[in-house]
Amino acid sequence: MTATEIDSPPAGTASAPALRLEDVRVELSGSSGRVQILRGVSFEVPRGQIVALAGESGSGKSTAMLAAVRLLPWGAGVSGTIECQGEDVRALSSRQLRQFRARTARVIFQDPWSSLHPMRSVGSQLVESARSADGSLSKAAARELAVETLRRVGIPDPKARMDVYPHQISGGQLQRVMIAMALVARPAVLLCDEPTTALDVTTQAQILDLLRDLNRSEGITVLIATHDLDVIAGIADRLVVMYAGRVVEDGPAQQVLAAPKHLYTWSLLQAAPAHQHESRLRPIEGRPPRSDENLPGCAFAPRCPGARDECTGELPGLELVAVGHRSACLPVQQQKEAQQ
Amino acid sequence: MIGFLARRLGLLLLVVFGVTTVLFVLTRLSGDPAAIMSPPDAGPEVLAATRERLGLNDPLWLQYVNTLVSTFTFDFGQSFAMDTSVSSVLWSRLGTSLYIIIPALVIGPLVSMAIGVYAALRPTRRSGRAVMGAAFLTDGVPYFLLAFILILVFAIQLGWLPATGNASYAALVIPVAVLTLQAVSATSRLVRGQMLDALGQGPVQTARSLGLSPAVVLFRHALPLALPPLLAWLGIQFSFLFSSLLVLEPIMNYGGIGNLLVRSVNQRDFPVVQACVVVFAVLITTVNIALDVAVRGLDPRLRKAS
Repeated sequence: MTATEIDSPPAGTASAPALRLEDVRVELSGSSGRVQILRGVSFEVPRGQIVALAGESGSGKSTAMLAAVRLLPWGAGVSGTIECQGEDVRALSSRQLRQFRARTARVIFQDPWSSLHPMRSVGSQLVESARSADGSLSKAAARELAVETLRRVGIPDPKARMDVYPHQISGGQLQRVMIAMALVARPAVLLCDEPTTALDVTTQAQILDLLRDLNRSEGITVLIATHDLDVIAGIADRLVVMYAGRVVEDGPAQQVLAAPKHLYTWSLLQAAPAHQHESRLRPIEGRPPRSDENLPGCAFAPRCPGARDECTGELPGLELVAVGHRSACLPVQQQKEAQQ
Repeated sequence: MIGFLARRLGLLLLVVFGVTTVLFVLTRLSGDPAAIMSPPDAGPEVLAATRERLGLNDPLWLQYVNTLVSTFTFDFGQSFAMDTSVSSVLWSRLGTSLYIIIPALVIGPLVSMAIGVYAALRPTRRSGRAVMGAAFLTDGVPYFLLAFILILVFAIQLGWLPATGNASYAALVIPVAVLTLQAVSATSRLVRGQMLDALGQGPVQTARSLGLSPAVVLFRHALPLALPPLLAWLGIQFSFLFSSLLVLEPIMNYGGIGNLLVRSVNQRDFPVVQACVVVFAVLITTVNIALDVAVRGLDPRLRKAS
């Protein structure tokens, strides 16, 4: 029995996950023909939790997130199952898709400077977002809701901020405005694509605190893509680690950070200051495979300090290695089998 | 905003001053109007009398001052060649030209917009590529050749339209078509490029993620991002339009300001040449200032600066 079968109750029941990806593959047209960005990604985001999607640039975490709301570039080839709040995202008609994007799943992008419209006031963008989710909302009511939401995300003097243009406020405040733009829709799921990467460290912490508060108080499910494990260590319930277009490890955040079950995650932690207790950081040698490279075995094997001969030969599947903790690492799986 | 307008107005005056000065030098170098106006067998005393009448015997600095005064008072006096005041012939010819300028200015940008946006939404499909291919080919044909082709087909072969003149509304069709095609072929390709760029930008992705309808995403989010460079281009296109009139009107025997200017140059009718060129300069500069103001109105980031 595989881990996915254990972890996923049938869709539509009350305990169905907020977001479920199963064997999702994405191909994009690059300069050198079609390239595989996602190579069979499966993971779940349980309702009401904060899940971090971690990986280096190019690992496919942003692609997985954008695929969940069908915002991939034109011409992307997608296969597999994507379910969000019990809806089959890939089967939605364009009208249903608009409703789904407007009400159910909202996205926060990496760079607030280039995500808000530079020629329109903050207020008009908030009002548009609120009325997209709820067509019956009058302009005045939407404005009121927008001001209230700006206050909730910690914008001082929200009434005055409504008439301001994006270039007139700081990056941290802009990201709060982006979050407010999502919140006015009262979405069930918030997809955050590296929401703090473009911000300074102090602001990062504030934005993450805000996301955690919203998760606690409103029960919004949050998926955060990040390349920085330190950033999400404090707030994530679960951690999904991606490498070269695949999920390599997936488990409770604290457990993954304290006792990683994949040598990639382990190496990543060795290279991060906050998790490394020895005096020297150990960088990971080499580079991730290019998206047009097809390795028969584990994609991390060429860089892995504990790789065995089998690692390069066959692709290890994601298997349960502890309670609620899956890993696609052959040495770890073999060790566990030996113990049984 | 007041300071901005004042600076642009100062620029306008500077352009008019510069154009008048350059023109003064060029016309005085271009030959003797008296010789052209007089019969071939006229004696030296006839030429001298004509020069005296036209004020060409005054010292050059006085002629230059008079020229500047006439430019800035917009009073260009009598035509050398025609028995009429410059302003009466100027305004009536400009009026005639407006019959082809205004339709071209309205139709050109609208059609370019429609074609460019259509092609931007279908960047890889055959229909989008076909439209752009046609625009590219049209752009490669000089507009005067285009005029000859249209005259050949619609006036001579089919007999639907008059070949020349400006006696009827039907006579406007070919010149308007030429000016429009010329503008559309270049502008629509720019519109496509700008729209394609705008559609890939962050704010448009955000708009899509809000679940807005494709029309709202296109017109309220993508179009404003694409518009500033297009408005700047429109200003350049406006000056192309006037230079096209200089060739198009004479070959079609259209009695507008372009035709007037060319004929006045040939006759060394200095006051009319000066008046036409000053009007061109004022119109082109004013339109470009207006477009500058429009871009600033559109983009709040430009309002604070300067």
